[in-house]
Amino acid sequence: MSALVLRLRAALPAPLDAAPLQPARFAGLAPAEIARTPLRLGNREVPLGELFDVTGDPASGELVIEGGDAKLDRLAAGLAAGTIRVLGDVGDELAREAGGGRIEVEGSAGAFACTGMREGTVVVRGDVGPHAASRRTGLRWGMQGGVLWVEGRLGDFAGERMRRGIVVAGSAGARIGTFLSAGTILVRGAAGPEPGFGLRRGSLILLHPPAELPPTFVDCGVHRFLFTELLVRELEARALPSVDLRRRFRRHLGCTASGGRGEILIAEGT
Amino acid sequence: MARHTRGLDVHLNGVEIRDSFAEAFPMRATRVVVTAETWGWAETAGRTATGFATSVIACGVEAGIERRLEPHETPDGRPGVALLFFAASSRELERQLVARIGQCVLTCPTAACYAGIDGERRLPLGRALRFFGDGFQLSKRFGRRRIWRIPVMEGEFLCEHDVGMVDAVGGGNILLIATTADRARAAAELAVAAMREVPGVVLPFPGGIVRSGSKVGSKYRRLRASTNDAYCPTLRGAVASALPAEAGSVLEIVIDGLERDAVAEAMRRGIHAACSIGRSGGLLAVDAGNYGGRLGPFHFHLRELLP
Repeated sequence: MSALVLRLRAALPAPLDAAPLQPARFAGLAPAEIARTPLRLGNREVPLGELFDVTGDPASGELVIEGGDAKLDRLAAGLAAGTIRVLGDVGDELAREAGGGRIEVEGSAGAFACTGMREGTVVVRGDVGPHAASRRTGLRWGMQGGVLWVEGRLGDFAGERMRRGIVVAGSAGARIGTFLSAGTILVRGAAGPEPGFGLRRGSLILLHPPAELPPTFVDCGVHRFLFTELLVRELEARALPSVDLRRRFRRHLGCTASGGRGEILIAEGT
Repeated sequence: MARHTRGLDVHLNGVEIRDSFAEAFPMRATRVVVTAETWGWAETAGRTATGFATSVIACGVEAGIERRLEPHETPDGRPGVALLFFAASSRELERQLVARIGQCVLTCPTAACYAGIDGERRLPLGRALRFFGDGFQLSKRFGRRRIWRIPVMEGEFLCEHDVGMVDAVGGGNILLIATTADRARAAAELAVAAMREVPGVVLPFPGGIVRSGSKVGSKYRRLRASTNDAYCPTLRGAVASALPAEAGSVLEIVIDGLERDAVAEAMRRGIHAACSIGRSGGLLAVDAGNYGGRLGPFHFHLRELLP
């Protein structure tokens, strides 16, 4: 069964609200009906067929978007099931409040990816902009479940007030995990300054030591942790690459300035 | 194995299969997975947590090790054991589970504890034990599992938040009537080995075998159960005995199972394995314990278990 394919005809002239592009929504429709789906492009409404060529099988449960665009905002917002694959970049608010399914982006994603996400798996081969898995203005919590896997760089302020879920990144910017309430952020490469500012109860796992740690963390020594095995298995269960966490970590508990009982685990011997 | 019907008598390999039935009762049950760095420590934790759990009459819970788990079968990739716990009420099951995991698994070097069965009704594990962490405990959610990391002197104890509870069947049984204690034990050991191959059951008594089956009540007012005199070979002439003249010893095997069919299958395998020694091997008859069918809703008729 071939996937439903939406081929972007040209670069978008304005931000596109891509939230309606969901496999389940198109499942019972003919290609011609899909092409009539109204989409919000900038300040006007256009039929989907004006922007995309529609081919493939709508009932496949998989949607492929060929030709990404950094103006492709809110893609997979509220996604509950099915698979979306983007052969290119996407814009802001990827997988906002998603509750399931799988999203794979071959390029990079903009700001505020996975905010309010509750479940599902998001894979970004490139970089992700700032505030990923974070709290949006007016909301209490950031990401609340699911997994965000970033091959490249995780932008600044990722995981702010994140409550649950897992974020894995190749490298990370500044102040990741600010006021992290729970959940886990794992950075395989270099992390920017001040990770874990105001950390409450979550875990930051850094495979390379950061340039600096906030002075409000206390060194609890070097240990092995069994829970990392469960973390690895959870990633593998979601068909994500394996990460070697069978190693010793120096545990820094904090942030003591805010009464936090969270932790920054820094791999030893790297 | 030869099965012969002589009139109304049924024999398997020369052993009489009596026209009787085991009377079993509804119970509440759960399965917990305990892992550790080695098989030895996993089994130590499992044996300790399921110790002194032979009968709900005095122990509150009936429990046992269901089977070993290979590393690829456990949540953390370490060797493990699956434990089954059965109790008469959900309240007692919860009380016993928290006490036993808290005293026997939390305390055991390298051991961790996970839910081994699903169900809408939940029993607390880490939900209750996390407070041992005195505020330093952390929880992690991996898929559907919520895991508590409780700091302990050794390092960290991992314990799943809660575990499912299911309706189950307790009190399936067979009685093996033999010429001598040695012969009864030989037959019972064969039966136990065969019955333990059945998933979803445990044989909660020592080595899976009961030598002191009981009847309800006693001449002493405060005693709820007393020796099953009808099956005591040394009382044969003094009571209304259920034993033939050649009988010198009787052993019982009690089975608790997550499902009725599992109990029935365990009994069937146990009868066949015991009867493999035959009448010539000293096994005279297979019987079962019941209360006339008035107390328990599950009746396992021995002859219906035969092929």
